[in-house]
Amino acid sequence: MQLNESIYLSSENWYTVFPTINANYQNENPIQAPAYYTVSNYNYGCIYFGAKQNHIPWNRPIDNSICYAGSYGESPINNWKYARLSEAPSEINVINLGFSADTKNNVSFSHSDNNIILNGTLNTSSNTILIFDLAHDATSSTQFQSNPFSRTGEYIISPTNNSNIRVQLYGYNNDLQLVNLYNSSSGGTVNIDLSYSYYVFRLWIAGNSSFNNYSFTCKCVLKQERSVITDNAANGEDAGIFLAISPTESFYSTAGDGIAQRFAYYNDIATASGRSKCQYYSIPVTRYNYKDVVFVIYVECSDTITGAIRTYDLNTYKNSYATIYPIIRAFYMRPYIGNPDNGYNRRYYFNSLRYEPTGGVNDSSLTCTSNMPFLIPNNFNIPASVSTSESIFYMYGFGRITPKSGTLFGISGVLNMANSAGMDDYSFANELYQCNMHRITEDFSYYVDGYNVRTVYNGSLDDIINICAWFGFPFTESQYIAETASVENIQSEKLHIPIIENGYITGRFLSGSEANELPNISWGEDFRDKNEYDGEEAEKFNMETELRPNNLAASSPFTYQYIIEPSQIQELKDFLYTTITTDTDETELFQKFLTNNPIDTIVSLCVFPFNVEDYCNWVAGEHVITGNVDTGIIAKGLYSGLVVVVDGGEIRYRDKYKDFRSYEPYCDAEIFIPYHGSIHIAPSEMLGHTLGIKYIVDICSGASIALLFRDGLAIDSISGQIGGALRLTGIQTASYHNSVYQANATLKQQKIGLATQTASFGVKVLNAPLEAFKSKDVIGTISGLANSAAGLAQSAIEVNKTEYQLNHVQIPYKAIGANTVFSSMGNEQFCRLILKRPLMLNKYDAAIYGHTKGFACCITDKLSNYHGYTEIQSIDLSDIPCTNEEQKILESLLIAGVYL
Amino acid sequence: MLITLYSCNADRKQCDKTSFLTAIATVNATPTKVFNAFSPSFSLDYNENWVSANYCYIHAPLNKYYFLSPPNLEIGKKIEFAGSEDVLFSWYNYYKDKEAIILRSESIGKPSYIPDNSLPVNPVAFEMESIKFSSSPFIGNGRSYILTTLGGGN
Repeated sequence: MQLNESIYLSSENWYTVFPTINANYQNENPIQAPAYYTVSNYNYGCIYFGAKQNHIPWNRPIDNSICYAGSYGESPINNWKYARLSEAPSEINVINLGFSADTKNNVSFSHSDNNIILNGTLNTSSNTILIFDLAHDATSSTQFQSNPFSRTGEYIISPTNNSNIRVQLYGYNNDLQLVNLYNSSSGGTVNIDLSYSYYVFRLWIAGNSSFNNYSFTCKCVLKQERSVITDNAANGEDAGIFLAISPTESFYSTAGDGIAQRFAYYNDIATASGRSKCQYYSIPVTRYNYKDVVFVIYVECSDTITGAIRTYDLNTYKNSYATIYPIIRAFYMRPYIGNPDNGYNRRYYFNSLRYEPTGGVNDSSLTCTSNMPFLIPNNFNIPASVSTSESIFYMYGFGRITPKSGTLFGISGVLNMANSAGMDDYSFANELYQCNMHRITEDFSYYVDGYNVRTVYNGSLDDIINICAWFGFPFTESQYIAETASVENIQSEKLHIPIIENGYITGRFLSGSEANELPNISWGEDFRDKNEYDGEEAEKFNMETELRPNNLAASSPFTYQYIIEPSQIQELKDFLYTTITTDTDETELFQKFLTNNPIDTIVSLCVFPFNVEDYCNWVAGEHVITGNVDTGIIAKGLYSGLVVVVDGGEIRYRDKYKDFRSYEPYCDAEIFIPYHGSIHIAPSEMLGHTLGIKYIVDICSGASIALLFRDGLAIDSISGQIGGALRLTGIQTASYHNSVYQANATLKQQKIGLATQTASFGVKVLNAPLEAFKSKDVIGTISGLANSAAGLAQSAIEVNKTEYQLNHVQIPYKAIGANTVFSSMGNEQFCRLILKRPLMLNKYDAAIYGHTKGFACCITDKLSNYHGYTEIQSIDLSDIPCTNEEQKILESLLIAGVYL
Repeated sequence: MLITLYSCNADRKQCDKTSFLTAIATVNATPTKVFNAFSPSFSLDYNENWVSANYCYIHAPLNKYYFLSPPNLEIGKKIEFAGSEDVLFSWYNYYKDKEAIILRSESIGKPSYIPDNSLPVNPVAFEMESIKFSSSPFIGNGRSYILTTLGGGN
């Protein structure tokens, strides 16, 4: 079969996230580094459900991909559609079966792919039978006769070179029946008989034998052919909802490890990169009407991380066990099939995905079976180091498959390596291959417990419901509701119908009677024309606005941003009011304060009414720097993501009246957006759509834009201010201390001058009498002395004045910011859709109005399909054998209004 | 000509009057004037039971239904009726399965999305509704203080 790889793409799109695991069983490591992304294996054993919807591009953000029937957003049904149209009407799949090792009776078994290798000596007096099992139920007839597949197969044993060895093939129904004994020298082939439930191989070895690298090959070749499910043979298109399952893995197990499963692969198709290609195909196996499938959410829980797991439906868990078993290890959904409206309560059917060692084979209404091929890219690369190490290549993924848990599928977050013996063979530091849903993965913590990896769900119970809505099918948290509730007329609030718009599963849902308005529940056997899907690729309809939060901000890269705690604001204030003491080191003084004022280096202090940490990349332990000064405050530094997108919630704009009154000019609508104001909207453009608000916020300035989304498309915006600048005050310390410094300098200079003057004046006073006697100008001498005394006094005054000024240097305060938006913080914090709808006049009676006036419409139809008062616009009466006059009168009467 | 007299309690705008007719008598009538198939007049021998007739069917070759005006009576002699054709019922079987553009219908059962200016909407009274969005990032204790400083390095 040729796959259309342009549709299924190549393996590089198949990424999954594997968490790094703390081997000390203490903590988880966050999943974030691209280095941990690796080529994923694919989920195996998963049922692919999906409401038919548009083709979703592979590059669609993976958070929309929980509907998991392709990979990451690929719609399952769309997959089938493309696959079916592009592939041959039948296909053949070959699955190699592996065997387990055993060490019984001194004979060691090892294996490589299909090869069984025996070594050792068998010292018994009689023949001994060693048993190894082929683990699959491929022969279950009920699984093949009720689905569109026909299947044949054969087991092939290669010739051996040891006459003491025989391989016996047993078929099993109620007991083991020998089907064939492969001759050691010739090997042989036996056709698979579908009447057997499963097969068991037994190795018959003669006593007293020695084995030295004795080997033989055993493999099963299964051939499957399917009939295309079509609405009619003519156009070959698919119809309805398909359920498909992908239990492609070969089973590799001993009886005691029957649930371990492996990926099958072609080991002999090595690529240049040293990887091997896996090849799987998936095809729909059956289909059900939309209303015939209701999923029930189940929770697996325990009292401790390692405690025994209990399983309850979510409703039972919430009501009775949430406190007893608070740790949710996993959750998943089970499909309940049936339709109470047609007289068949829904039931859940196990899928017999494998040979069940102790309990026989489970029947399945979903007709899944082991080795059913499933359709994923056929260039699926797996490192050779893994592909050649079968013992570690356990594929656990979304759906844990155990004999008793039935069919699970992508919604499950179970890793379930509880039985993954061999995990220790593989370093956690290297690549691991897990099937994890990204969303689920991020919601789960992982703990290593010896060989096991335990999972713990971190999210809320409500979020489980939200996640499940991505499947697109009716779902409920109550098993009872699933079994009995009608999807024709939904009453229970526990029954949820996902919203599918333009062919997309939106991840939203309505519950209870509100869900009756959704078109999904009117889908019948063939809803192709009813789900707005016209078969075109989704790109045409992918009207989504891609927001791009980035590192850009209003501020330049020459600024620092910090997230500071409220308590640190006080520290900041203390810093900004720092003054210099006399013992301040001058170097520090110079560095800190004589170059700039710290208050001048603060651009803003904004408060945001949400937790910025959730949206930005930040690093703890950063020193808050203002200019070139380390404040000593330790805060969280922001480094990227300074323009962030914040979700403002959404609402579905419902049509209350379901008539023209819901539209303008009768109805007026606007959306109030906190911190931004209101946007008027036209009901005609918005009714029936989901309206959402997203804020694009500049963390530096607090400025924001609120985008109004209609579904995924932004259609309007309004500017606002979410971040509010806090008023910040401080001393212009550098200026202050400069003034102090200058005043000190002046004072010092003045004091020096005064001291000099004082000394000079003293000498003058001592010498004055002598000078007076020597001089004729006694008066002049005395006068000069007086002048000197006056100058001395003046200098003293200046010193005192400077000292006064020094003691009264004005402290220069500065304020930045202004307390803004705080009034908005006291306002409504939710977006609101505000509607003004018309009322009818008193005593309006719709029945009377309809009978006397009729309700406005514009329909082209046969008159006989209507009753009561009717007016028409026009009618062709030309072929009525009446006169022209009668025809005119008749037409005029019909136009004027008649009772039909 | 052969006519069947009825008592009819249907609205004149009723197209199919079958269930509204009560037969009184089928009699032979005599045209009183030049016969007009659209608005015929005819006379019958007097019978007090026939006086209440307000509707009739004129058999072949006309095969049409007529509304009857109140009769003129000549006591003991004749009853004289004047009729006008009920085209709605006469041709009902011909047009009932024809397709038409229907502008108003009682069958719709409720106002539709087609604007209807006749609907008695109160022009001054309104109903206000304020619907909260599903979530808000601004509730709870989440508050962040962002300090932006000029930085030249320390």
